[in-house]
Amino acid sequence: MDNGAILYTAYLNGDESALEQLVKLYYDGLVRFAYCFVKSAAVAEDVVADAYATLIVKRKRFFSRASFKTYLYKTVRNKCIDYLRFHKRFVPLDDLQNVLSTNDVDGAVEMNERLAFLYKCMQSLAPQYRYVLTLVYIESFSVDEASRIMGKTAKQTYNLLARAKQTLKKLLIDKGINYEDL
Amino acid sequence: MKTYNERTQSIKNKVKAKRDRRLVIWTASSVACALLVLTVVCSLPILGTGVPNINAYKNDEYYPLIKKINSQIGDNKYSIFDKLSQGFGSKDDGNVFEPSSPDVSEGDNSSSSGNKYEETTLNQVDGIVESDLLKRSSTHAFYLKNGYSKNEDPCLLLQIYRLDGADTEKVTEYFIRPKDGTSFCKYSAYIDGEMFLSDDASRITVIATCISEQNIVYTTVISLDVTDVSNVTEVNRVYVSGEYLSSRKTDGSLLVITNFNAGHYGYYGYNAIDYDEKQTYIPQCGSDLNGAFIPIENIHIPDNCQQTNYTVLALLDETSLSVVDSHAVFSYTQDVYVSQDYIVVMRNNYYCYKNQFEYGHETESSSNADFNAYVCEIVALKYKDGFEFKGETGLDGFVKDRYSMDEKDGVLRVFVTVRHSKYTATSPSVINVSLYCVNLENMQTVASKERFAPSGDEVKSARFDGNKAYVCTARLNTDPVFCFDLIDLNNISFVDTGEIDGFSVNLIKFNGLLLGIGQGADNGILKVELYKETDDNSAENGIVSIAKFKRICRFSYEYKAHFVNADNNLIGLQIYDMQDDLITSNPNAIKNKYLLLKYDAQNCELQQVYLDEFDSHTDYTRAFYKDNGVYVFGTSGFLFIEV
Repeated sequence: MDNGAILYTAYLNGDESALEQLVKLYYDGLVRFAYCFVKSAAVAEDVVADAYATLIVKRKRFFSRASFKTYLYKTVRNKCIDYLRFHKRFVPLDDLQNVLSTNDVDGAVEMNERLAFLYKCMQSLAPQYRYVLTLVYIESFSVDEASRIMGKTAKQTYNLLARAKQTLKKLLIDKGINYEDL
Repeated sequence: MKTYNERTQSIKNKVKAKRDRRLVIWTASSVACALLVLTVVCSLPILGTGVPNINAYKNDEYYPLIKKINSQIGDNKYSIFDKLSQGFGSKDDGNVFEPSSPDVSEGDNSSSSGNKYEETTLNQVDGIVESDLLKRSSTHAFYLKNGYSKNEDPCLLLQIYRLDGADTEKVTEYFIRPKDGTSFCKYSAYIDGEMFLSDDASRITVIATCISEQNIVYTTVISLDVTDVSNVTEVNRVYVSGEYLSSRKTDGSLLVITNFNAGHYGYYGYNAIDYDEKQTYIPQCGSDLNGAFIPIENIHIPDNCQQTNYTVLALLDETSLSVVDSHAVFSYTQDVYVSQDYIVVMRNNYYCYKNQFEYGHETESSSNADFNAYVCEIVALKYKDGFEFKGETGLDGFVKDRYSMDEKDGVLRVFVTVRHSKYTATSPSVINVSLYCVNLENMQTVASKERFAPSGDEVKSARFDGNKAYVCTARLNTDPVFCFDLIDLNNISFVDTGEIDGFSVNLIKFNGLLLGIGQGADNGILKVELYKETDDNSAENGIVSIAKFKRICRFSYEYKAHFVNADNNLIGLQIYDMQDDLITSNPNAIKNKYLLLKYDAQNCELQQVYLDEFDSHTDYTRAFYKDNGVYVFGTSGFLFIEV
């Protein structure tokens, strides 16, 4: 049973502190992932909070075979798609920095500079490229797990990842950045 | 940017708003649809809307069990809408394979499979053989392909290879299909199984989960004759209630352990209980789906049951698959440890306590408790001469897996992660690691070393070796590795490495050293490290790191996927390589590779001797050493590495 599943079960059994630990464990990564869809830090936070709330209200028991983290990311993705259906608007990227850092006094680990820079560059890419690069290289999912979150086959995700990297490389070159220095 | 407290509060506000909205919607819907809902409810099986009347079963031999199950159903917190939907958790990892051939062997007319079983699996306990995806004889290798099957014919695939170094070839593919109306996968497309090979290499026994047409979950055990590898035939097939958890082979018997859910959401869906249909709530073993029910005297019902699950233990004759003995413990199991004499089933649970931890003295609710704690509940049985229930107990902490425990001379040594969360300001929160020693004859704790790790650490891996025990604990991505001396349980001592980067997920004894395979300081880094215990009394630490290898890649945490051959100083595993920069000069560069390391004892170095393409899933790749070469088998084929 992974940590997330244990904490989730604990929360359903009455441990209020387990929810805060679940938030610490996954929230930042989920917000970064949601940001790729909604392009607003505030909206991303709202969507992620909504995903957590849905999980709690529906009280679905979780068993050891599946990864809780994968399920959570898939829920956030579905919430983002629902949001975009009703709110077809874009906001500038000036609140991107809010997604990459936290001011929590408990001091969550910040994304390292290299990854943060790449994450910012990724926001200019096509949506599918953003999602797959974020899942695999920022949030450290395997390709199989990323394919489940995105609702694609593993082969489709492999191909998407290859194209995404190629496009990102071209973008960096166009910006005058030597990608080998990254 | 919000703090974590603010975020948590935001979630709670949303939960309240959702629940209020739900209440309004439900109230409005029930007024409008009252008659329709009543009709639907009346036609549904009883799913927790009320506790069934069981007076009619008072004379049934299983009445004590029915009473217990019924009391648990009343406690199930599911709403009727939950029960109308299936449990979540689809599993679609792994390679896809598309069986297209009929159920016959392919390939040339090879000679028979050889006459001697050769061990390939790193068994936890000497003499207790574990099932695995790869088994071999002197002349052939047998690989059971697990994976994701999307077509209408989901089955397992047994691949047989004739061993001949670089000229090794696949000689047979045998498709193992479900029978008796069962299916290997119904709610998910994922199929997995494991197998054993008999000592004379003539019989393969495959074990996998299947589901009947009535949505009852079974574990099927299938015996195949592989004497002539070009003509594999099925000899026998039996069924044990429940989802397959684990199995062992010892002294000509197979021990099969399953989790049987009754009236509960399992991975494969909801199993409704009908007290008139015994197979819905009493585990069975037998040659078909109408196998014998486990007698009530063989079902242990502990006082402290939380869910309506059983751990089913079936002892089968390896040759005939006849049921030698069967037993069940009325509660679920997360992992199983089997020694020469004992079976220990374990689960992690969660209770509230006042003042201090004392198993058996839990508070009724959190409102009158000081803290809650994870508890490792263990049940011990002897099994050599038929199952004999020994007892149960609970330890302060949760156990990671079976490698965290070991039995020696009737004493179970176990490492747990202690986790207390406070309810009041005066009771502290605790995350730490403890060692407990439990006498399995009376289930009393005879020795312990509590909270010995740095605060916040959890168990990441453990291994026992006689009177020595090794455990890696970690918080975030730094660990110490501890070495315990358990020769005198009244005076348990330990030494440690101090804080080092990363942590091990698998610890293995390696030619007098300790091998750790695990993660480096950052996510996505493989770390392979060797430790040595020092005899130098002046040394600051009694166990030190002497060699290390790192690579940026993903790898499997599955113990059996790690190839370790101490005799030849070899370590290997399948990786998803990310060592090159994120943006490589070739975006289509191969990432799936097999990595082989060799330990150079003279220079205390772990050297990379092989790293090249091999398309396989990291969890399902297996390897063994034979005749100056390493044979590697995976989901897409085979690889031979000359060393």
